[in-house]
Amino acid sequence: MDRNDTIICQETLQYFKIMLPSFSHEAKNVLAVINENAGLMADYILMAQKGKTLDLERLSSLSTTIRKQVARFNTLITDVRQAAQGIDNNTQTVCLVQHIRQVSELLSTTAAMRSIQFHVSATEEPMHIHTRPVLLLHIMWACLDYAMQTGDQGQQIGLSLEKKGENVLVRVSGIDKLKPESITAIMPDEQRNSVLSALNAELAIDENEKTLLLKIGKHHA
Amino acid sequence: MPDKVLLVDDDEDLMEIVSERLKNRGMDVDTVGNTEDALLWIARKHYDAIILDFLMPGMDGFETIHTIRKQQPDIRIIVVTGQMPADDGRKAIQMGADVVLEKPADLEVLAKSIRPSDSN
Repeated sequence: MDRNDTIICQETLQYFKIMLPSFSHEAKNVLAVINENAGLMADYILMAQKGKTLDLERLSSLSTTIRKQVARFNTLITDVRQAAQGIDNNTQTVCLVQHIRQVSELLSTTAAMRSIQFHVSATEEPMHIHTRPVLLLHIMWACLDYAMQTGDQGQQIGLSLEKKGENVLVRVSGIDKLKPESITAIMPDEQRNSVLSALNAELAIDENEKTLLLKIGKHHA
Repeated sequence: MPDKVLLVDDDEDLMEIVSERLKNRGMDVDTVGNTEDALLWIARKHYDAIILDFLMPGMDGFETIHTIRKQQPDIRIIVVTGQMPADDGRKAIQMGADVVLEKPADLEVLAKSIRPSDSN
């Protein structure tokens, strides 16, 4: 294994290291809501046993909440499972729209703590590319995390996708404090170069537009 | 007199249900979705306990605990968290929290944390 391969392995692990606490936090919240719903239903049963009439509309609303949380949990687990599959399969065909949603959702709690909002303006249509999914998630996470860490409270960070010929452009906009050295702050040079090379991608800064541009080329591997 | 409880969580579904369950147990519950509002409510109303989601929009969790403790020295501060390393849990207690509970928390444990003298 050469130096580059080692870096790629380390960065793959690094992604799971930073992503799993966010996943765990979201999952725990879902479990907490389901747990409280079950508890409230048990409360209602106790009240009914004591003669109080069951409020069927309220029960129906609890059922809707549980279904909503189950769907939320299913999305979380599916996303993590797909990311895990990306470790074995070096390259996979993935939907970029789904990747953007996944990263922004997992970072949403951290963003909310800083009163920062993500505005995802990706198309509803799937946008498939053949790539190395974990590395792509990792660089997208690093870009969003940087935008968030340097953003002011109340700021809105834009996320959009654009297809340009065989390339896809991911734009992270609304980053006021963007400067040339931001690139290194997003990810150290050696790691970033290895990750971008493996993705056949380029990361650039448009200071005037306060935007990070991730250009992903067709994968030939 | 019912216990006056301020419930602070940014997950509306969770807040609504926990609030209803605590009210079913005879408590007087107010709810807010961020730490700034929590501090405003605490400044103008006396509470017996505050149930605080540690990771919340606005102020840092430790700072929030410290500020609440300064404003209402007698309040029970119950921190509920999805994940917290042991060191952070200890720090939360040092900053003034009375109890740190991990999600999903048992409501009976939560209720006993609000009323530690109530063994039922």
